[in-house]
Amino acid sequence: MTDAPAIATRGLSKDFGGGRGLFELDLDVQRGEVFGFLGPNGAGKSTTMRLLLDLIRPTAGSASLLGLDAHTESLEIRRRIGYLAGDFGLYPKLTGAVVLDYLGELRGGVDRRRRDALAERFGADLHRPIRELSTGNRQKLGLIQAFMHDPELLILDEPIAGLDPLVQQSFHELLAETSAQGGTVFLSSHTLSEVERVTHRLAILREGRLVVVDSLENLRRVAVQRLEIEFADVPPSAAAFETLPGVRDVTAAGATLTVAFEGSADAVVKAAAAHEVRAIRSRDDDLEEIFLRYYRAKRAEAPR
Amino acid sequence: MTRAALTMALRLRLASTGSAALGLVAVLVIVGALFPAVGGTIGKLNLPRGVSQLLGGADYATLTGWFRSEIGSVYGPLVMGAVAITAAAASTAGEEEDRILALVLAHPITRARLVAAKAGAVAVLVVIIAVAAWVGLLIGVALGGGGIGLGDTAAFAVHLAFFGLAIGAVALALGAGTGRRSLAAGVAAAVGVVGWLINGFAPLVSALDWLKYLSPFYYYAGDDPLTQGIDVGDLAVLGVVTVALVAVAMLAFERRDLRG
Amino acid sequence: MEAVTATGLVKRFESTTAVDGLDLTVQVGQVHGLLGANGAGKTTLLRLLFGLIAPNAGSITLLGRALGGPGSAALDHVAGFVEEPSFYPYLSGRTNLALLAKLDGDVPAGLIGEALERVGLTDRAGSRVGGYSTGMRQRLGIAAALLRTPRLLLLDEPTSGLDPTGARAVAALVRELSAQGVAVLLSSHQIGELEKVCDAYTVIREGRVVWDGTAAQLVAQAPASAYALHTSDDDRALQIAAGIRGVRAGRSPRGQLAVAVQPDGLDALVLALGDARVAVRRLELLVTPLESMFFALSGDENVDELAPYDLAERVFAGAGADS
Repeated sequence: MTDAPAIATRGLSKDFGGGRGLFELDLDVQRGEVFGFLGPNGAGKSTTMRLLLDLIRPTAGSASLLGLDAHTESLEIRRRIGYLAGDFGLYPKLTGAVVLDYLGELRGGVDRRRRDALAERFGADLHRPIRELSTGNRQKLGLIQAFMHDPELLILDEPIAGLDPLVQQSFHELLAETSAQGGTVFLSSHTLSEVERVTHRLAILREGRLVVVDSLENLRRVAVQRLEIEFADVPPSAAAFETLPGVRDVTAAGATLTVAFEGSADAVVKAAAAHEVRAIRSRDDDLEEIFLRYYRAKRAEAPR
Repeated sequence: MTRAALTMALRLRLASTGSAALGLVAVLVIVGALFPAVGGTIGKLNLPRGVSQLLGGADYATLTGWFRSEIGSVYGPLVMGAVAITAAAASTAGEEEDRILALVLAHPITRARLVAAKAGAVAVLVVIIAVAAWVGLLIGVALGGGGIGLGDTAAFAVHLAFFGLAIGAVALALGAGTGRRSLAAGVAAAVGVVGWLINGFAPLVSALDWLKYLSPFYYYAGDDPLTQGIDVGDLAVLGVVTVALVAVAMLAFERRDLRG
Repeated sequence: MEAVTATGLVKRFESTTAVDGLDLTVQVGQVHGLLGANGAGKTTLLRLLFGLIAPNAGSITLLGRALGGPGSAALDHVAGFVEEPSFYPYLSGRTNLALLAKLDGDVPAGLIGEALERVGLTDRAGSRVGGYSTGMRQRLGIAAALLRTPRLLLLDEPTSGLDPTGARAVAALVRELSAQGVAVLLSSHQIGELEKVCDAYTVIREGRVVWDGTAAQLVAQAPASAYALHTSDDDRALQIAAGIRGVRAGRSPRGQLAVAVQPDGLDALVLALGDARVAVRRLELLVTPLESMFFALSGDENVDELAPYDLAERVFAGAGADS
């Protein structure tokens, strides 16, 4: 059982008609991974998660979580996992504490201290009616209910939506801890810095089909990078950089040259060093570009 | 765990049901108190048979007729129906539309048990209304000068309860089966209204008389519990229908995709 | 000219003081980012600027006119939304916009179609808003704002619920408008999104401004940024980094080399590496200036005292366990 992947899907499909849905997803998520699930809106990420949770049923294929069948053994699975839906509601007139108690009861009881520790960590107010809470504070409750029973596997749909950067940070720390303790996290995200920081591997879905599964490291290797170099005085001409090995293009804006290149940054950096440099910035546009290229490309044309 | 779900479903509707119950008691008390002054004066109204049937006989001369018309034929089942239907629709389809159900179902509880818990909660709310009806009726009868026995008032409450269970079960089956709150509540309410109309008018046309057997009102009030006491046959029909619909609710809910 | 001038704003509610002596200036044609933790007062501030609530003290001038209540003339050519834009769920997107256009008065007929086009909602404009995703409602909200041909746009989390493509479109739209002289005040939790479009920032905490300045000032004043470094000889790079002031280097649990640097530190490091013939293969920004500024200002530490070390900790903490 412990050898089984945390999540394994085989030809998992959900056809909504009109070309919409999920088609033949083959995906493995290993234990202890923090796995990012990316793709444009409408690609099928939430559908996938709902299929895994047995909230909706596939039109073809199968899925297993923690070695158990997603449909026939769903009850056992749900004992051991935590889930946060992308667009979820909570009972508006009740307080967070009451709702969390209820959800805990559905699990046969949950350690209150763990729950309170999480609430404190995220700065969540458990004693106000939910309808009075802002989006961010509601989101915190959603996170707490997913984590409070220390599940082996977490399935989280856009977990940082509405969270301020401080709470985002706390959440990412929590993810690192979870993973370090052997827990698995399967999360969808639109925030590229989050993907960069917390995920071990990621998959990109587009129009219901898997476009790529790989680590960010590997994806970067084929990517174009950009260095934005701000010179103290008059910048050198673009030509000085364009001829360097690996350089794709150079754009100039005032005292700043932005050099797009592949491979090692060495030549570019050395060339820049020959002048007085005020700042060197790595533009994470290239990370965005990487993903957007996958988001846009037809499957056959996807890079790699 | 099922109990937690039942308690929660109950908790969410308790305030509104409590208000409805108190309102019902108040109305019954007032109606009873009014009888000595008003009832005798009005006497028995000479209405077309169908309408008179709809209003439970429109016999305002006797206390029994008074209650039967004022409460038994419209107001009582209206309150009971409203409470049962809104509770059933809200706790199933309402929760689904509000995107709470998905979160709940991510927890280790089977769909069947969840529906059972919600059905149970509706049943408790129905009992609350029925007890309120009984208490209100007892006080109202006393204020009205007496004349309806303890057993008969209880029988009325029991019949009203079974009516509530059946009509609530309709809303539950629709709510669990479709996930659409307005549809579930609307159709269940329509079943109630149509049932009321059928019970009033169908007997007027001999060819259509059989239709009354399809109306929940027939089993609720057809054998006049206020004077005849409990009719086990009637209650059995309503009971079986309730159980069957709850089973349908569970099956339908188990099979379908959750909306959202 | 200033598009927004808010001085000494105070807003108290029953249990809290949401805004406590806040000053804000947004220049015409500027894209101004508003950043703060949950509860810092961003939403209240935006409500005050829209005239939805009245301040207990202080004044607001929009596009040169003093702000009165909700119907105030100062709100002409001011558009946007606070929290989520609200629409009639049973009506279509286009109908909703048409209704709003009627409410506003003279809105030229073609503008609705144009606005829908600009936010990419033309194909779904005929469907009920109730069926829209959050992102679509967001975009419709922006379209609604565009109908008013605004000279000042106040947007609350405009990219929440949008995927990177959608967020990019909004960013492009904002830049386009800014180029046309529209002032934009953007509140967001997505630091990355803000840094792509903003010319200036205001960071608030507990109802007060804790930092305000242009993007250039941010870069200059930010405590530190953190980068991931890929070199031809990471061990050597670590040694060299140890000797440079303003640079702290270390390895993440995944073995990645990362440096936290003061503004000049990176240049010194890269040059030193070059001198030692250690090739810099890749430089990835892990913690941006705005982020480091925000964290510095949100902690208990004084900005001047925050060590870049903390940033590295934060970076590594989020870097995940060994796979």
